[in-house]
Amino acid sequence: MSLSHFLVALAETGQVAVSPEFVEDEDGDVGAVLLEMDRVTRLNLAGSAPEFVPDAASWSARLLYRGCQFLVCRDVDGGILTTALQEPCPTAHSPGTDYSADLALQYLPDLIHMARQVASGDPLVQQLLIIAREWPLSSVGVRGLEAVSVESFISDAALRQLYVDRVLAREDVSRLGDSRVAQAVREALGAFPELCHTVAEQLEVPTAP
Amino acid sequence: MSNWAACITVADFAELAALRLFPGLECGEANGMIWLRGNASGEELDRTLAKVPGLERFEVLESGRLKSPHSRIPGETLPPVAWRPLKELLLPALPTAAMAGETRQKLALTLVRSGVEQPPAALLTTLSAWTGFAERAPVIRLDGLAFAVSDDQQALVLGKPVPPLPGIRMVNQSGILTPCGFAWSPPVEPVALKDLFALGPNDVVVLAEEGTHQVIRSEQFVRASRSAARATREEFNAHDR
Repeated sequence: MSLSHFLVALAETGQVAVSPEFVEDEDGDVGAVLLEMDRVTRLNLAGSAPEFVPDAASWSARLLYRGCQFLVCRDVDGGILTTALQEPCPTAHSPGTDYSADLALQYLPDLIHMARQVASGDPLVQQLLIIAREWPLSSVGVRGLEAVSVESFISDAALRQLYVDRVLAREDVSRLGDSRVAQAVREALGAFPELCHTVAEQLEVPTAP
Repeated sequence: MSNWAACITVADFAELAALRLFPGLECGEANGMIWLRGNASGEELDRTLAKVPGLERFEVLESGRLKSPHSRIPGETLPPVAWRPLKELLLPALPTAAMAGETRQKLALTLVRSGVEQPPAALLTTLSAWTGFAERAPVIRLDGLAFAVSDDQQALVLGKPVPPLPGIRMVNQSGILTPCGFAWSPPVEPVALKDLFALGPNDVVVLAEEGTHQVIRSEQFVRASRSAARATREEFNAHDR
């Protein structure tokens, strides 16, 4: 399955297949598929989404694909795995970069969950956790991350709301340490703590009389 | 051998129904009359026979002639009759259903002020207010909502929590929507109004203060999401241009 087919299947069904061949050639359709993912995601974001950064989106797609390959190809050398998953993002952190990378990396928590089910002490899990720590927008719900920095995207209203939506949906109270995040979550719950009891209790949101 | 007989006109045959369950009674038609005979007697039978209007009774003498209780002289003889058990000829049937009553006066359905406090579960607002909210609202505040939009750009939002927007907050009782603080009169059960407005399982009817109503079918609602709100707004914008 090519990278473009992988992305289409990921977005449409969530069920993907990967090739056992570790080739770096990117098929020509990846850009178009990522643009379509950007268009659909943009429709569902609160307000206006940041600019789309194609390089960051392609990089994250390749990274996720490799992660899936390593999940099923268990006999790969640890050095190769580390090198492949440590390829840096070609663009610096910014709302646009974080948003574009998230198009693929939003599936990172599911990949980490599956990798942990196979072997929690696996080098793959350790490498995926490093990625998760660096991309906090995409890694909400992943257990075992220390305090993450949300500086790169928290100023963007659309990404801040996306982050808050994920914190509430996944009841990830570990992300409430940042006062800006906590405040945004409080605003989202408003006078309805019953919408997410776990988070509301952590924030001590008062119950309506 | 029967020692009594009786006759009644064919037209009054149904009057014999009260005798149907007495054992041994037989009847048959001859010369436009229904003849009845029996081989049993008793006080209850006599009393029941006496209650049948138009029934003429006779004593059957050994000679076969008939003697009326009002006469000392025997008269005619019992005509030849193809006797059959009375209960075979008089078959019971279910009573005909009574005709439904004719409604000459109808009560108008109106909204009246109500002191009963009920939480709102719907909001009637403008399309612009709704889309302005939905396009930026947290997902958790949209998850329980559905909305429908009318041609005049009014948006009806169903579900809780009701969005914090200007508009008319409404109570939802089994699909009957009334503005908060109002109840319908006469105070019939919601199911009666659902029948009245021919509502499907998830259809709703909006009862307005000014006495109008509007039925909205379930297929006209869409689940609330940012993309659905945007698509609706863009559809109306394109229509306006």
